[in-house]
This record gives sequence, C-alpha cells and structure tokens, in this order.
Amino acid sequence: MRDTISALSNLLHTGKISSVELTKQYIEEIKKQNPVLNAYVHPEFDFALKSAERADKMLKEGNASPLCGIPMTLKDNISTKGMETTCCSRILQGYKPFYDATVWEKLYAQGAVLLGKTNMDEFAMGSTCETSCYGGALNPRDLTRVPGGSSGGGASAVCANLAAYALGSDTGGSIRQPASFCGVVGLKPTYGAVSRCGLIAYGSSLDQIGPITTGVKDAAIVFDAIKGLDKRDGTSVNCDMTSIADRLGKEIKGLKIGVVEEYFDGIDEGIRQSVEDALRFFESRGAQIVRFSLPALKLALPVYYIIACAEASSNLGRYDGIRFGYQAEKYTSVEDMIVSVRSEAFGKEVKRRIMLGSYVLSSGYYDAYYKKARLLRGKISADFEEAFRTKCDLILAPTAPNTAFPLHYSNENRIEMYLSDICTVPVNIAGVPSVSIPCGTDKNGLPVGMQFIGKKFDEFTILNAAYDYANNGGKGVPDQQGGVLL
Amino acid sequence: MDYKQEKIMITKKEVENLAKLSKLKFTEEELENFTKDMAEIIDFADTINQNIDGADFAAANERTAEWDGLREDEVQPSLPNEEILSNAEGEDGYFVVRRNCLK
Repeated sequence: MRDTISALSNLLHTGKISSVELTKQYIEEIKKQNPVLNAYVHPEFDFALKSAERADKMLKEGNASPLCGIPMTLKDNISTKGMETTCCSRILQGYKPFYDATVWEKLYAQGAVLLGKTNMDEFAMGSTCETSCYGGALNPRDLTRVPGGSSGGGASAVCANLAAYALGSDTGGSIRQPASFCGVVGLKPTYGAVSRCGLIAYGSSLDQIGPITTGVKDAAIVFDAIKGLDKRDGTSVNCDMTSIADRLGKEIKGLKIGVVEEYFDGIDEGIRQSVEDALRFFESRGAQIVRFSLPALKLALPVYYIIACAEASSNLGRYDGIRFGYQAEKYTSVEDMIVSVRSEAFGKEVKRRIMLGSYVLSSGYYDAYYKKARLLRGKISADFEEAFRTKCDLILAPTAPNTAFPLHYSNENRIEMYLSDICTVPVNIAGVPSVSIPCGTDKNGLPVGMQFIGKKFDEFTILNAAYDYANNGGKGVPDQQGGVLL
Repeated sequence: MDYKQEKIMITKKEVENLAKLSKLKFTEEELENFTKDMAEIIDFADTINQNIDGADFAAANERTAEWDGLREDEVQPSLPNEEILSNAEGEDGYFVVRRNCLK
C-alpha cells in the first residue's frame, strides 16, 4: 500500500530515510514513467535535490512541519519564482515569474520539496488535459484514457506515485474531476479559504487552489498548510486556522447527508450504483439520508460557462506579447502585433472561451446572458445556503456523470464535454467546499468518484465524513501496489 | 419546445466582430469553423433562458464576494525593475517593442 504523507513524515522525522534519499526515489520514478504519462511538463530536479538538502537540515533542527522533506508537485498555473510557469500555453512559453504564489511560499517555508510543474489543459480550460500545448497526460489506470482535467498532470502524478501530493486549481471541477478519473482524493476548498495570489487567473470569482492526494487525512494536512488570510488576495478570508487533520475521526452518528435529485440526472448507471452503495454505508454508520430537489441546479452549467468565460475574456486580455512570453516575428503595427501574438499562441479552446466571453459581455447581450447568469448564481448560492441551514449537514453526489474518457474523445464531442461538468460546477458557483474521493469502480474497472459538499468554511465536516468512509470499510479503488487506495 | 426553431443564429460577420473585440484574427477557413463552433456554444449558453419548473428566481439577487475589509494603505517597496523586465526585451528600464519588425 502507498505511503501516506503521515507515514512518509514519520519516516523522515525518525531519521529512517532522508529527504534527499526519498526525493531521489521519486526522481527515478519520474524518469521511468513520465516519458509515457507526460504528467510533468517542467521537471525541476536540481531544485528538488537542493530543497531536499535544506529539508534534511530543517528536520535535524527539530519542530519541522509534517510536510517537511516531502516531494510534491504544483500545477503549471501556480507561480514559482525563477521557474517556468506557462499554464501549458504557447503564449507563456519561457515565462519565469518574479514572485512565488502564496501557497508555494507557505509550503516552501515548511520545507516542501518541489519536483516540478505538472500538466494541465491550456489556461485550465478543459476536462481532459488534452488542450495542453505539451500534449495531454495519460491516466495511469488505463493508458488509453485521459486523466481528466484540467489538473490532469497532478492527478496522474499522484496516482502513479510520481509525487506524494499535488496542488491543483478548481474553477469548475478541475481538481475533483481528475481526482475521480484517477482514483485519488481532491479537495476544492471554500472560495476565499486559500489565497489565489500567484495563481494565474482563469475565472477569478470561481478559481480556488487545493490539494490532490492519496488519502483523506493527507488532503486535510495540505489544506491546513495552505489556508488562511493573505493581504495580497483581497478575496481571501480569515478562516478557522486550527488543524483539521488533528480532529478527523469524530463520530458521524446523526450526521444528516443530503441527496439532491438533480445530481443524478443522466449519470452512468455504474456511478449511481457506487454512490447508492456509499449511502447505504453511511446509513449503517448511523447517518441520516435526506433526499430533496434543487431545481435551479439545472441551469448551473450555462451559468458557469457564461461567468467563467466572461471573466476569462477579461483576465486573458493581459496577454499582449510585450511584457512576457511568446513574441510575434512580423507585424505591421502595435495593434497587429498584439492580435498576431494572441492568434498564433492561444489554442482553439482558449479562443472559443474568450470569444464567448466577449459575446456575453457585449452590448445587446449583456443583460440576457451575463447579468442573468449573475442573478441565477445568487439563486444557486442561496439554495445551497438554505439546504445547509434547514435540511442537511453535507450533500453527497457523484463527482462526474462518467468515468475517464478515452483519448481524443473530446475533439468530436465538445458540447458533451461541457455537459460533463454538470456535477462539479454548482460548487464553484456557490463558493462552497467539496472533496472528491474514490467509491468503487465501474464495469471497465475505472475509478468512480463521489463528492462531499459542505457549507462555506466547513471543510471539517466533509473531510471527516470522507475520512469515516475511508477508515471503516468504504470501497475505494484497488491501488496498483495492492492495497485499497483512499 | 421545438429546439431547431429556437436555435440561436450567429453570422460570420458577427463572429468577425467578436474576434475584433477579443483581439484575435482568423483565416477564412478558421472563420467558417469558428462560426459553426460559436453557434453551437452560444446555443448552449442560451439554455440559461429556459424556464425551469419548480425553480423560483423572483427572489434571486446578485452576490458579491465576501472579504475581510481593507488593508492599511502603507507604502511598500515596488517590484524590482530588472526582474520585471527579465521576461521581455527591455532597455533603460522600459519595455521595448522592436520597430524593425514593422513593415
């Protein structure tokens, strides 16, 4: 069975292994598997080894964090000073940020060892990792399938043990859906719980950074390490800073688990079965199942795409080829230079979303689309709040309506791809937290994911329920190394 | 509802205008494909205007993000000029756009 962060931390703190030795093992594994998986797009092995030496010193000095010396990876849209950060887009090729994202600053201060940056859909726009300018990553559980997206590289790396954990970003499901496709754990924290400073923006009112791990407690440990108010992010919030990881294991008897009808519309039968099995598990643990309907969720998808694309069209306006990244060779005017850079270096999906954003924000359409989407967003948020106030403590739902797609499937089925985000986007619209964990396999042996959705800043309740499932006979999925991975 | 009749139409000219707003340009062939793509995508976005049985949107309000107030307005050191210029062509502390590429 795979070592969890706690187990690795124990080995490091008791001196049974050094961080340098551990890091070398991971580097060997990356060299062996990455030519096939393409999970890493910018390996940083020299930096990793130097960080490991530094971590070994910190461990010797005592009082080191549980993450000290543990090798990990960041999604390619999280800024790292002096290290290439490209959002897997040609337009940012060669770009080296001159500051660290707050999350990486926090982890590095605790002795984290960064192995490199991982693959993603270009600017996090996609559900398969295939819009990456470096080519997509593969799913370690079935090499003919995608790892999901957009944080596909991170999920692939964690699944194949090419990193102990990864940080991804989730705008409409980009942490949870790849976690479910690869059979690992993915947490999208409450909007504002984790600083977005240094996260290259896609949809600023939806984006949130979170961990991808192999265990529920691991997700709590990493979340504890990165959460908190940051003066450099005006939307970050002063949340409860006490450790969640230390409190996991609280009894769930009497917990009210909400099941929302709309989440089960049109999902694969195997997935429905797996989630229903999990509900029976929770009933046997003394939880109470409450079934109800939230009709407004039927509009969550267009609401999400309108808001995300409107914000993207504005956020991606900064790419002009003057201050960083791709530059045009030939142009006739400054305007022509900017247009050439953007046309040559953005991929098709990014262009489509910028264009949709321009459309919904343009005069004549603004009220019918953007303004309406903002109103419906308010409605969906209010519905979640009311459900948590009057009906249940958390909502249990499938993470995706399907398991991992075959490679290249998205090329021919674009709208179907958008529709496949149906289970994940409501959480981003409402700004609430959600954790996806494996809950069995489908008829092809592919991992199925379920998500626990909670009220704002109550990551404890959802992680504790997931932890209860993982530690008391929940199904999980078979690990490649024999055990049950959860 | 007759889906086909309700379908949103978008012309090549409108797509050209969107490209202009987005600071993008397309070849004639790309434009044809994008017009098809955009019709499909806008049609999808338009499902927002469907009526959903049982959902009451009358009381819906726009939300603004929660936040923890303003920070003190204290003077902070600026980011170092050389570092900011290190990702591009710079000269004497300014970004440079090469004139020799202009026709």
